[in-house]
Amino acid sequence: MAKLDEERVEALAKLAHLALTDEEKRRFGGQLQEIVSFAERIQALDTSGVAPTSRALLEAGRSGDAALRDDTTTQSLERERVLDGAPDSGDGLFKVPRVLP
Amino acid sequence: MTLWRQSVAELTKKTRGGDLSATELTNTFIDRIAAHDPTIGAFLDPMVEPARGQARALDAMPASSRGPLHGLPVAVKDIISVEGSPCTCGSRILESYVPLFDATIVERLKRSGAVILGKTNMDEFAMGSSTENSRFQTTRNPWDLDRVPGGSSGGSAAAVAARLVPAALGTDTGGSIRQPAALCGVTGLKPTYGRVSRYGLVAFASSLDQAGPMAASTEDVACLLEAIAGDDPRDQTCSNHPVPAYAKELDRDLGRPRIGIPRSAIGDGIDDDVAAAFAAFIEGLEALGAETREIHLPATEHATSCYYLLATAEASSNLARYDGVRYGRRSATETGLHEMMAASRDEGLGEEVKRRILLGTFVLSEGYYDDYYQKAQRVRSLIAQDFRAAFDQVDAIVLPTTPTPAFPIGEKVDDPLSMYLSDVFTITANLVGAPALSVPIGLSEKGLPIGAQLVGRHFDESTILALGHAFQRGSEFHSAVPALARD
Repeated sequence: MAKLDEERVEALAKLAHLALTDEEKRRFGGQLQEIVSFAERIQALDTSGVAPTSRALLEAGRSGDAALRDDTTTQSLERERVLDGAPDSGDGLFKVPRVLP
Repeated sequence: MTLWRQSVAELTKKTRGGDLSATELTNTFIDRIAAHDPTIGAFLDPMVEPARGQARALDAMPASSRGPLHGLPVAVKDIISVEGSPCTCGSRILESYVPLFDATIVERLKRSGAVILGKTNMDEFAMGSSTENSRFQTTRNPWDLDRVPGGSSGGSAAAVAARLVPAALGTDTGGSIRQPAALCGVTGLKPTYGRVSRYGLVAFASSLDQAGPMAASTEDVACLLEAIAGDDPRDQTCSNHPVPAYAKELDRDLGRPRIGIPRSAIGDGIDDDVAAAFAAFIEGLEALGAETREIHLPATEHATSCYYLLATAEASSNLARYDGVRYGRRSATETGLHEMMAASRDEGLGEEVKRRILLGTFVLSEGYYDDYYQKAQRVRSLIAQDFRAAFDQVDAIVLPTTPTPAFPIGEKVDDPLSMYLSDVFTITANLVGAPALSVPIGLSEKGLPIGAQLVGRHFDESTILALGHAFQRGSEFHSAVPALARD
């Protein structure tokens, strides 16, 4: 079974863009280990020849003639209003901290 | 009878007929929120002024253009976009986020004449079963203020239970409408996946999320579902399946409906009071002419594992968008781009959300994807097969909504696995996309509400609503109001 030690939690946090304290890494490691140990039980179930389901219901979505919409342009949100809600913007763009040194 | 005790049908009959103005009705509930919400904490933002404005506009409308929900106040969970009002999802990272558009279901409610009265508290990003994961406030169960209202739509459930609004919307990814409905003694419906548009809802786990109504009775819930259900080209999972007149279909003759009871629903780990109320509920259904039989759903014992692997994987992907760039909170402490993103997420996201993002990232990571993510998807197929086979024999499945009544605030907050296990009876309906209705079926010895679910075939909300309605015609549990809210 997978081992969720501090080192792995740190690697996962990096992938997920989360800054964690050492105390959080320890705590999350233990809790995630417990949850994964519980979930591990599904390994006992025989799923050979069973296809994976990636959505709740294949019938969901539009059917018949409505399945594809006409390829027409519609009004989207106004740029100024969207940028007003951003933490930082300028010249019609989202601004972020300097990327290149 | 006092206005606030009346049903959606009774209230809208008065407002549509001109005997009651939208303003009067809205003010009745604004007064109740002012009187009781300081104790309960159901609302993050009661939206009093926008609601009054909406009511005034409705009162100025010609009688001929009054909609089916004319003047009816409806609260919405704070994960649902209402133009111009903050949509926090119970999270610090979205504290300052104000949507520029209405969710389709809000647009539909407004078009039906409903007044949006308030955004309700919830577990952060709908992750939780007690509303304790809200970063802003504690919501208390109106039946016992030391207990949780359930979650994640705990604010909506508590608001309806105390009749601070006649109806509310919630969302349900693993039970988040039905579980709080049961713990607060109200009726709640998770519709079929694809029945209700999710455009304008903040995504948690996209293959599982669904929005639905919560109200005192099944009849009220049917009226709300009729207003919000239906095709939406802006949500590609939304179905164009015709929308029946749910409220009219409540009284249809069900003949001798065949009802399946899974073995697990009467097995170990269920509180004695819940087991007794559930047995009485089954007797009640039999008295209405239902034919009950035991069914076997072998793969569902793995539903909780399957759910927490898939839901966290989807969440880790959906929540990657909160990075402090386009909206929401940006940390001021860091100067580099990646450092800023990580710091924004660290400051903005709470413990349970971080835990689930980490778990989901693990499930999707190299070397574990096949063993966990894909395996869980295959188990999901087996669970769906079990349900298909069951529905060849029965018209609906019944099971308790929760294994226990509401638990004390703080009891499970440090034990995530035990919190996850409280969803054991609700998550299967999400995994298979089936509609499920939770109705109040009794009170525990301590006076806490107990609920049971009716699970139906895909797009057959009508059958479970008719069953719930038939049961409620002979039952008073859905009309009970907690002591603190009776004046």
